[in-house]
Amino acid sequence: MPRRPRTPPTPFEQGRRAGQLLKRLLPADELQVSLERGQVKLAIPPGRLLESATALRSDPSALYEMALCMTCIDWPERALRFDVVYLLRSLVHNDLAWISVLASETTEIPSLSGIFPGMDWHERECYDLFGIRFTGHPNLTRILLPDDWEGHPLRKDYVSFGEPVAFTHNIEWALSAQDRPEYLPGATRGAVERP
Amino acid sequence: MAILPPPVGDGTPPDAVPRQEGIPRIRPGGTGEFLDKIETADELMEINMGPQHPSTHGVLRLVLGLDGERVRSCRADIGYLHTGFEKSFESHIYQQCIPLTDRMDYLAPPMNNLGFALAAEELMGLEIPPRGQYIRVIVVELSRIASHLIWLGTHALDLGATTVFMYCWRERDRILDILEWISGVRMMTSFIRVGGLMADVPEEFVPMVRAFTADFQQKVDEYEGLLTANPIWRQRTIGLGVISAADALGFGCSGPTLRGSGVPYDVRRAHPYSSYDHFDFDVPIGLNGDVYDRYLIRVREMRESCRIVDQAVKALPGGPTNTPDRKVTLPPRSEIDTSMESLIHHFKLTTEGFRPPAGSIYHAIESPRGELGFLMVSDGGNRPYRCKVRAPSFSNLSALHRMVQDELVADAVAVIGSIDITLGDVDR
Repeated sequence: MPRRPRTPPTPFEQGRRAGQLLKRLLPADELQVSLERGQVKLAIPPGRLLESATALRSDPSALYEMALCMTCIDWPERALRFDVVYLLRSLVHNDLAWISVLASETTEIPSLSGIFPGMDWHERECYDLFGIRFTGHPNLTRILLPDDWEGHPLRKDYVSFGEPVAFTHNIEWALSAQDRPEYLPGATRGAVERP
Repeated sequence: MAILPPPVGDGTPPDAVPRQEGIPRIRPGGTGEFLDKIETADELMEINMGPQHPSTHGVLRLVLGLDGERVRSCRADIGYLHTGFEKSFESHIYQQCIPLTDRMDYLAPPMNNLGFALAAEELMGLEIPPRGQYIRVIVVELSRIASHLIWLGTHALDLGATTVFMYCWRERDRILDILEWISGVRMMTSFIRVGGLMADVPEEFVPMVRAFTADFQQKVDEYEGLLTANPIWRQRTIGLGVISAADALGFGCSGPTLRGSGVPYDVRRAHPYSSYDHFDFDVPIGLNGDVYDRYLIRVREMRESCRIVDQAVKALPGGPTNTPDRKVTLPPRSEIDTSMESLIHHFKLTTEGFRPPAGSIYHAIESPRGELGFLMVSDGGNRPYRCKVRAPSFSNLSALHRMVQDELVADAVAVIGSIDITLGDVDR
C-alpha cells in the first residue's frame, strides 16, 4: 500500500497558544486555565472578550482566524448558569482554542460579529435557543425558530415534550401548568417531573 | 486530473479568466451594516426565492434585493427544517442518538454517525479495532462520493445540464446498493454505532466495493467529459461567486467552499481520525474561489475518495470490528444463551446504555460539506448533557450574501448550488 509519511500527531495540548497569549494579555485573576482530554480550556470574563478575540485573531503567535462556532451549555443549578463557549481554529498553527465565558440570564456579552463575521449567525442561534443577549450585534433576532416563539428551547428548564396530566395527588399543579404554554419553570431535563 | 480541459475560446486557462471589472464584489463593513442598507433602500426590488424553489435544494428562503437583474442584497431565512435534534439528544441514550444524527445531513448519513460516535468514544477514551476503523472509512468515503454525486447532478440540473443528473444517479444507486447490503437500509443506515459498527460486513461486501471502484474513475471521466470543458458550463461558472480566503475563514467556511479559495484545510489531514493517516490521498485546492473551482475540487475529491476506498479494501484487516469493552458494545448473540454476564450486559446496554465520564470535548470530522464537529458534554449520565453540532452547511450558508453580491439573479442559483448546502444540516 502506498504510504506517505504520517502526518505528525496532533499536539497533545490543543489551545496552548491561546493560553499563552491570554496569559500575557489578561491579569492573572481574570483568566482560568484548565486542561481536559488534551484541550486547554480558557475561561475569561465577558468584559475581556472583545480584546481577547481581537488578539487571538491577529496576534502572529496565535492567528485563530477561523470562526468555527460558538454555543452555550446550560447548568441551571449554578448562579452563572450559562457557559458560553467559543471555538476558534488556527490553520497556520493547526490549533483549536476553547474560550468560555460564564454568564447569567442577565449578563450582556459583547458580540464578536464585528471581528468574525461568521459569528453573526451563531450568536443569533445562541440567542434563539438559549436567550443569551449579545450587545453590539447588528440583527439579534431569532434564526431557527419563528419570531413569535415563546421561550428558549435549549435551556434545561424548557421541557420540549410531555403535557401535564391531572391526577388526584397533583391536580392543582397540573391545572395551573396548563395555562402556561410549553415553558414550564421548575421542570428538569429528561421526562416531565411530576410532584 | 484525468481529463484536462482543452482550451476554450481564445485559449486562456480558467485561472487567467479576468473577472468582471467595475463591479465591487465585497463591500466593507460587517454583515449588519449591509443588512440595514437593504431594508431602507427603496430602489431595490425585493423578491422571494424559495422556500419552495427547486434550486434552493430544500427549504431555504432567500430575500433578494434586485437592482435590475443584479443582486444587491441577499438575506437568507432558515429554520424551516429545524427539528430540535440538539434538544432530542439530551433525552435519548447515546446509541439512540445515532438514528437522529442520520437525519441531519441526509445526503451523507454515515458521516453524521461517525462524527457522533467518535465524539462519544473520545469522551470514554475508547479505541476501535483496526477492522472497524477501516470499514468506517470505506463506508463514509462511499457516502462522500454519493453525496458529491447528488450535488453534481442537481448542480448541473440547476444550470440546465440534464444528462449529468442521470449519470450521477446511476452511480449513486450502486453505492446505495452497497449500503443496503451491509445495513439493510439504503439511506438512513445508522451503520456506525458508538463502540464500532452495527455488525461486521457480509462477505459480499469487498467484491461489491471493488466492482464499484474498478470503473468509477472512468465514470468520473464521463461526467467531466460532459462538463469540465463545456463552454456553456465554463461561462456559467468561471469567475462567479468569488469569496476570498480571508473572508471564507472569517465566516467559518470549510470543506470545498474553503478549499476553493486556496486554503488547504481538510480535517482528515490536519487531525487524522479513524486511521485516515494510513491512506494516501490528495487534498485538492482551488485558486480563484469561484463556482468552477469548487466544482473541480468536488470532482477531484470523488476520485480521491475512490482511491481511499480502494486502499482500505485492499488492506482491510481481519479481527473484530467493535471495541471489546462490554460496557459499551453488545455481546454476540451466541454468548447470551450461555453466559449470565453477557445476558446482564445485553440487558443493561439496551435499557440503560453506558455512562461516559463527566467532561466535555469537541471532535470534528470532514463531511462532504466541510468540518462537521460535535461538541459533547457529559455529566456522567447515560444521555448527552449537551451535544452541539457544528454544522458545516450553516457556516457556509452564512457567507452566501458575500458570494452573490452584485451577481445576476440567474447566477445566484449557480452559487447556491456550488456551496452544497443540506438544509437538514443547516437547521438541525
